Amino acid sequence: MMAMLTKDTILKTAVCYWSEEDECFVVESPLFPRTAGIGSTVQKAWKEFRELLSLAYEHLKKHNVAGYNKVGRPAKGGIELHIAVRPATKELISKISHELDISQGEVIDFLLFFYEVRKNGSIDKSTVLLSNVELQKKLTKIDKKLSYLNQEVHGLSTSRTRKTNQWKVAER
Amino acid sequence: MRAPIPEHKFNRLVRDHGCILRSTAKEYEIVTKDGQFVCSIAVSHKKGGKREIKPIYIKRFLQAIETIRGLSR
Repeated sequence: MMAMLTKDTILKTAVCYWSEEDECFVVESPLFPRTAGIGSTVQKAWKEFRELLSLAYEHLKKHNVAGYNKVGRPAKGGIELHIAVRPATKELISKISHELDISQGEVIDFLLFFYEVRKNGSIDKSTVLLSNVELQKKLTKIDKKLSYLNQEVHGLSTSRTRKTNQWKVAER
Repeated sequence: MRAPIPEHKFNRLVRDHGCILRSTAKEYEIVTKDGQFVCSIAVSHKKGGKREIKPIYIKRFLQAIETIRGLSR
């Protein structure tokens, strides 16, 4: 039996974009379209999305969502698709599927949703993409190293200043 | 841009589709008569205390109903 759709997965696949039609920012995930957050700012849209998702997730946990008949993963009404892709594409789809704990079909749904939204509007940079998550992790590691180095340098310059002052006192 | 509709009109729309509107502090959840979740929406507050529903949520509700009917066939 497939794992249940988690709130974390829905949040990771959520996309924030500007809707020309509605003249507001919209946050939604293609994996659970029953919920969307809207707002005049990106922050308001994300806040509303999280609040509405929390409300909806209580029902999802109890398998109380209309139209989702299967226990566990909701029924999608999906159809089979047999396609040939480049080996690198297959590898990437598997990687995203594993990372987000979704099926490979859902990966394609997600990517296509992302493409459509990007085509019709502008995606906000608050949308965390898989590559951005990895980049952010790397940046966090570099930040830590830099702050450690800064402390060392600060420590060295402080001790040099003390030594210099000691010499100056001695000279007097 | 399409205009929002007042809460009472949206409530009528929801009832016409055989659903119920349940409100919490700031949000609404729409459920079927059996209590199954359909979708969740937020309410906008105008001056004078009028509550209204934005068109994007109306669209979402109608899409959810269509999805549910499609999946239950």
